[in-house]
Amino acid sequence: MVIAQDLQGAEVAKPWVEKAGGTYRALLDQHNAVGKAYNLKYVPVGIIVDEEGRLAKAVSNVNIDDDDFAGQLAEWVETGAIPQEWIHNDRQDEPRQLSADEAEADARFQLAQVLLQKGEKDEAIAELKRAVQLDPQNWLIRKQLWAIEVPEAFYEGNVDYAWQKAQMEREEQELLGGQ
Amino acid sequence: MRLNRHWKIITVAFFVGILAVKERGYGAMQDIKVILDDQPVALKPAVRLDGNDVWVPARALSEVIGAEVKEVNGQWALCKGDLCILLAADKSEDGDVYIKLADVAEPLGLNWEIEAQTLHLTWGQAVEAGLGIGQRPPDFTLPDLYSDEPVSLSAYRGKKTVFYMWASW
Repeated sequence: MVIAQDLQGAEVAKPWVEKAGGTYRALLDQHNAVGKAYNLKYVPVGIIVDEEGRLAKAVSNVNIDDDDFAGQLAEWVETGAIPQEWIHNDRQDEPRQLSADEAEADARFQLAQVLLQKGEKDEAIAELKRAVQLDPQNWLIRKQLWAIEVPEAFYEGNVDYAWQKAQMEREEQELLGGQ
Repeated sequence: MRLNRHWKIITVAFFVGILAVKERGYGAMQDIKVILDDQPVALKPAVRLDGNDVWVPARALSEVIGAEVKEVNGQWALCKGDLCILLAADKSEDGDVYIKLADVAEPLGLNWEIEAQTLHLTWGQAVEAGLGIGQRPPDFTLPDLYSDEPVSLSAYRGKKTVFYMWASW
């Protein structure tokens, strides 16, 4: 099952799901509910649970295009045996409360979603910029901002990684004051 | 044990199970009472205590914990959702398979202890909340991208499930 972390909603997520042509179910986390509950600040991330609802792998970054991970996942699905690599990288983290800045960043992120729905794109971008200043390591907010501000770097042809790198450097200077 | 428990337990249950059926013929076992989540439950045939080992009738246990005993690949297995634990092929004189509780309790999420000739069973208290291996992650409910139908992580109990978080950006 896949979960789209997209503030902009189903319409931006659907073309990618359709292009992937998967037979799995697709969900939408437009309000970053999972990101917030799990203290996640980036994608892709895997939540891998067994028949009893227990995690077989610490919740963390995964990449299904990585052959090693794909092999480990297939092995676990087949046998129920947790791969050594996953055990080695286990982290028994507790979900934690958001800090005051993180909580404000999340509130502004939610507000941006409402503004965007009302067609107030400039106001939404302003809120997202404040959210990035409050929680600069939160790439769920930061890249979401980029995708709304400069959609052509994301939704036309291939994702423009050179632009992303340049944008990150610009932002460190302008938005984050060289933090 | 937890790390690749299913295979190990399948093997252990199979061999120990056969051994037990043989030993039972010598009549050294004791019938004991069962309490599940503070409620007495009647298991027939009775649960038996043999030294420190607790032997439970697979079919009767299955009924009280919402599992079932069925044939898998020509062998008896105790199944709860997608999770199946293969059992000894031999049957007792009561027409039921006895299994060693220690071999099946952990994968089923059952805690147990023996106190005053009574078996106390409780559900899942050993599973703590968290984001690491063996822990239970926070539940969530999200809409299906196409149908809007709400879908919860917890609804997939009984199946191995992978949630892969991504974004269009």
